[in-house]
Amino acid sequence: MKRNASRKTGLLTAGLAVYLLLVLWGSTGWFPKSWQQVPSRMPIYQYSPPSREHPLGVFFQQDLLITFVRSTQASFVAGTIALLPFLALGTLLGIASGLPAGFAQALANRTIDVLNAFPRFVVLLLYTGLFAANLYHMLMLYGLISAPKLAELLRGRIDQLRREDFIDSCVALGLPWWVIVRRHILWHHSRHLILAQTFAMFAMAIFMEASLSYLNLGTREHYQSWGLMLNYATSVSGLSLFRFPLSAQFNLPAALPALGLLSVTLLLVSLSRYWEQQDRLKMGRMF
Amino acid sequence: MVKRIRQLGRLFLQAGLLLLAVITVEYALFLISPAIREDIAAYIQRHVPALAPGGEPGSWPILVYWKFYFYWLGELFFKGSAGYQANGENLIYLAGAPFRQTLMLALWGLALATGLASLLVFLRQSWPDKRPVSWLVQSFEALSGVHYIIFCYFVLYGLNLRRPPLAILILIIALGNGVLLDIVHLLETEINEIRHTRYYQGIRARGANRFRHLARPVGLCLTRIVYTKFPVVLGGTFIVEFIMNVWALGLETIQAVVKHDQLKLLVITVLITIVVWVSTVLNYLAKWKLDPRPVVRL
Repeated sequence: MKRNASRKTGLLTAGLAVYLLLVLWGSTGWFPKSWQQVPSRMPIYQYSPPSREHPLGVFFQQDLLITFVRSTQASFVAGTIALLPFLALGTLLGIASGLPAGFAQALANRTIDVLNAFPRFVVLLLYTGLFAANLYHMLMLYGLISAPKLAELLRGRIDQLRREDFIDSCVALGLPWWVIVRRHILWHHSRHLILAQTFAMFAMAIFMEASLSYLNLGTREHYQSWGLMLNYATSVSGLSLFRFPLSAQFNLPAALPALGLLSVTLLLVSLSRYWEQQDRLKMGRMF
Repeated sequence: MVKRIRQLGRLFLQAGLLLLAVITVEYALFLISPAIREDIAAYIQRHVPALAPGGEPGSWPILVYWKFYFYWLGELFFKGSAGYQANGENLIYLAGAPFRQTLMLALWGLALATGLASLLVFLRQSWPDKRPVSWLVQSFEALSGVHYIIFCYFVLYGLNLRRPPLAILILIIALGNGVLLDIVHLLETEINEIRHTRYYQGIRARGANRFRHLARPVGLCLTRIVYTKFPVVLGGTFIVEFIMNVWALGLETIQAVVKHDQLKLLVITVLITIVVWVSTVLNYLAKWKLDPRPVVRL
């Protein structure tokens, strides 16, 4: 049992390391010269199979491996952009809704209700339609409208901890309420929960970015993403996903981003589950 | 009985006012953009010239747009007209077949996910030590990690399944599959919480029927989970409709976004608001029925 758990932790760490290395590679922009040189006469909708100069082939007049690595970096940027407003607003709303009954608590609760009520993807679509926003603005908005999830969990945690003796001790010692919330509730008792939600949100943001770029909404010129790769892969004829992966007819331009999306999301969701488990262990609620 | 009817009446009145307030706020948000005001002004000049004050639309006071809003709302709720497209077609058609299709997909997807999640949780709770059960649940959980975009993508471009009955079935499976993992996780957490309550432990000690006593708290949890997951599935339908090219609200929305058809977007927003409103009211009613605590507040 213990060996299984340590193997799982090792796998998760290795997966995260590979993802971060790919992100780092994409952000340095270092690629061999032969990969960057693509025959200029090649038709745009043609896929050229792997060769010595291009290890995964050429697609859309670009080396497929370079596109994949740059898309990995784009997914990381997308996750980070959505994460910051999510954490900021989620924590703020969670603390406000966990306060004793009053105007701030009522306002926070109603805000959570309203934000929860609307389908997030539809809100993003409408926002794009109305304000012609770019992808990064949409991801920030996505982070904001996803904040109630974290807020509700924090509200529950504050409600649960409020009845504990150590909170009474803190109040009796004269600690200000923001110190109690920041240090004793958020840091000592909720950091695993916040970390779990951070990974879950990161995964959802990557999928949202892929969905929006698949629809070609808010993307700029020369933007590279797994969603765009999937979209472009639909325009190539004569390729199939049900061929031997090394054959020239295998649809690598579609399989590669799909595999990237799947593995990164599964990795992040597993990390989120791992931290949730740690949180339950810490709170003494391991079932 | 009279008290209950009065409570119900108050609930519907509050909910109706809330709906009106939300639609008004949405329209105010629409008016922020000058491009939308231009579009609305052009529509007023073409279809409701009585409301146009004359002069350049850029110099019109904001009151004109609010007058148009109340006129449009009256037309929508009392005459069933949601405004006209450039080709003269009434936008109320969005509330017909496209709306029904989207709603049908979302509801069936949610029903599939909830049913399957309940079954998986039941299996895991009943036989926690059986390996086949554990493998079954784990395989379903792993499959649920496949997002609906990739699911539909593989079905459409890998298996080349595009015929309507089969495509619709796959859409439902994809949507249900997308939220299955979340629902299993939430339901299991809630049931574990219930199992650790003194109420449940008392039932076990007395030897009473566990299922009968668990039905109400689990029903409450399920209602809450279904209510929170409904917007997620509804959002999912929009993208899968686009990928599978199914004529429904999702496809219409994305076309309106691309063409900057603001009035159509407004109608779609109102339709979604009404759906969300109905789901909220149903959630409160279900809570009212299942929860022994008597207070119902919006």
